[in-house]
Amino acid sequence: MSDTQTILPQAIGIGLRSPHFQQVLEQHPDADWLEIHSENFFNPASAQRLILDQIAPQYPLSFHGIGLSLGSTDPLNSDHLKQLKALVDCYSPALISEHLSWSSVSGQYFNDLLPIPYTSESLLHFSDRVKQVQDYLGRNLLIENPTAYLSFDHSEFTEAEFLAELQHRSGCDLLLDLNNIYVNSINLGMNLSNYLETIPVAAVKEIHLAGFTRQQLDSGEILIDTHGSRVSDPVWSLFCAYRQRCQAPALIEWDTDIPALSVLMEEADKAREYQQMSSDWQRVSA
Amino acid sequence: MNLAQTQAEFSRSLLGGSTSPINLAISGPAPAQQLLQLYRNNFVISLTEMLEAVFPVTKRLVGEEFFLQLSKAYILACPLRQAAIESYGQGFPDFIDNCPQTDSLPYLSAMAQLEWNLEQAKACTLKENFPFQQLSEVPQTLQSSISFTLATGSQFMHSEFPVFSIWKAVQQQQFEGLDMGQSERLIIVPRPVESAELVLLSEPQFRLLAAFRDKQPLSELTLPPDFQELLSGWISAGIISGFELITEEIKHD
Repeated sequence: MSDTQTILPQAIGIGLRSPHFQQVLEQHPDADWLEIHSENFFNPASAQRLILDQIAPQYPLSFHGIGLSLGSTDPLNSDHLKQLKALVDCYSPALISEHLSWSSVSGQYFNDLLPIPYTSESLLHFSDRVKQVQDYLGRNLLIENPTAYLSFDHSEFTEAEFLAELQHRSGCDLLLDLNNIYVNSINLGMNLSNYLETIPVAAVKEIHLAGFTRQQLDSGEILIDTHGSRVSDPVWSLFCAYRQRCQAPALIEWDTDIPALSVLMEEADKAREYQQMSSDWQRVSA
Repeated sequence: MNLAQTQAEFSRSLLGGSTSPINLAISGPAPAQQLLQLYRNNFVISLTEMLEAVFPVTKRLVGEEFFLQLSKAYILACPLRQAAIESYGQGFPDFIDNCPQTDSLPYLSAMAQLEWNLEQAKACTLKENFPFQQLSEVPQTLQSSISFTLATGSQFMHSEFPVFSIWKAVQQQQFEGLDMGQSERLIIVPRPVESAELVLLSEPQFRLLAAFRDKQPLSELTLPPDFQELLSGWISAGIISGFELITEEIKHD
């Protein structure tokens, strides 16, 4: 196994998606790091792996998982875990992340990140599973805050309290998706400042920036976390403010209606500008 | 309600449709049924998009609305059984074959099978270079034990319908001259960077390549008079990527 890669503080990365593979190889765009969806690269004989072999020496990588179903009451999927470990051992990525969610029950997968009730039972279950995975991989996991369109009435914790306690119990790190926090704050009335105050900033090792869309329901408007548009102004503001406290690498994440690579790079440049602005404010206020 | 019960109820609500009762105490910006519908849509839409991406010609043959209905029926009847969605859709051709609503398009299942095979070939890497030097070093006494190996990930297909011709006709929007009574044999070969090529084969060519796939040595085959020419064409087209010597032990493995 090679040495584990490093992504520097304040580094701005982009999500690497298949429409851009060739262009990234040929043009070597000015992204500080790249994030891939782990599951898409599990097959060692696949064309995707051939691409990853060529890209890995050029960029620090983060492996972002969407299929471990950590919150599920089904047993951990040992096949999935084995494949993830083989991938991690092969490339030694800087970061490995998963979601605070579940996606399968009784062997049925939903290809979605479903919400869990924030109860003591869920906390015990989730932290045990995170510890199991960390022990198996020999690496720390980053757990990402999810988007949710509903909350369970029997929850005993807020999402931020749950994440903070999970981090404390399992020793995991956190991936903070600022878009998800914003979307949840609008949809579920979550208080943004309280949320960010509750999260242990030292444990935040990665930030996600993405776009949402608006959907009209009979009862009013709801924000949908599509990851299919530019980062919104309120999320840029949140990034700018949070940057004063947290220097974790940030990523432009775009998963649907994937645009030209140049659009992702424009968003990455914008992140650097906001980062600079945040740093300037900090100097002035000091 | 404990976590297992919550997840079982949530799952039942997602699979049950918008009229099934909800036994979950949930809150949000809309009534419970609408909130669950958002998750139902995510689940069905994401898998439908996956099917649309793998079966674009099948979709064009039946039209968008029919394809959506077919996909939804398949998603509910054949649930996703693993997190990685790359293998989802393998059963779609069989599902179409058993679907009474597609009886008027008897070639539809074969088209879906062709598109599935094409996707599998595209997902394979193509990195073999034919070992001409090693082949030239095989002693004459062993030459009849040679069997040629096919490019990794190659997919064979024999259909009673002209699937390749229909596939091409849909791509080019040129349907003149299609003989629907014509059966077709083809091989789908991986190409560099997530692509693949479909090569139409005659019946003898198909049989010969299938014999190589089954590790039959040259000594057991009746070779056509133009074998050298065929072989050279298949090597340069990347259909044949190497060779092996088939000994008695290998045959009995």
